[in-house]
Amino acid sequence: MDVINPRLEQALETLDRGVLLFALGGMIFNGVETSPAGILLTAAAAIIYGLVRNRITNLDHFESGTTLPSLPGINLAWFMFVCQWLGSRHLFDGLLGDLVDPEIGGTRAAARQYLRETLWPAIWSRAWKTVLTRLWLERFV
Amino acid sequence: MTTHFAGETVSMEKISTPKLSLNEAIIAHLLRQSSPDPLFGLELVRRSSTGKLQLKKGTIYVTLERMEKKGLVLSELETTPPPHIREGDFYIPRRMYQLTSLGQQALTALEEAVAQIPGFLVGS
Repeated sequence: MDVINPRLEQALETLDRGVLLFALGGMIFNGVETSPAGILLTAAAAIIYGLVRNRITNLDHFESGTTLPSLPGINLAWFMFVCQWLGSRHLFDGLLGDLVDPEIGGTRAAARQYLRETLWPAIWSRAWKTVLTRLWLERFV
Repeated sequence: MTTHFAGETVSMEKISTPKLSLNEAIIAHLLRQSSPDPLFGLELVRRSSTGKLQLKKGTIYVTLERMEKKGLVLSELETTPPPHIREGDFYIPRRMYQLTSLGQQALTALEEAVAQIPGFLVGS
């Protein structure tokens, strides 16, 4: 998968670190001041940033002629939407590619269960690993 | 090319070789075993299930994505469908992964480091 501009990628990572430190600091200091509204606002701002940041990263990977195959009973448009905002192209290609396997994609129920069981843990794992990496804790990933 | 690091002369390649996490090491090992044939994520999970260290479905793609960013693996979409696919079946080209030379180097470096552990433990 091509990285459009490595310098842009590096600059965005630095921006991520800044926002993450700001969010963590904001939540800690709002906690010290016992301000739930402050904590919620800081967390909400950080989550919105994270979502948009992921969307920006995925922008080119998803919009260069992605045509969805049809899989009866499964809303793949929703699956793609989730991957665009929360996941990644690798996750999208990987999990959909797994459905090609007759054991997993053979029946509608099995395919739905597979996507339900794997998508959310994968997204959670990706978010957690990204946070650790941005906090210079890559060794624990 | 060599340089001085912690009082020792070491090669530049050794310094720039990325370290592998446990999951990355398992993936790199399986990809090296299957080389030159590329593997897709689910196949990696299946092959790992025979050993004690197992990869997890779903989360493997997060690791593979990170490995590609680090230059350890290379991926591309498969060009021909697998033989069991018939007309009208659901099919999307699967992303196939291959170990890069940097990935090979990183795995070799890890194996060399692990090989030193028994001697280190006996010597201490």
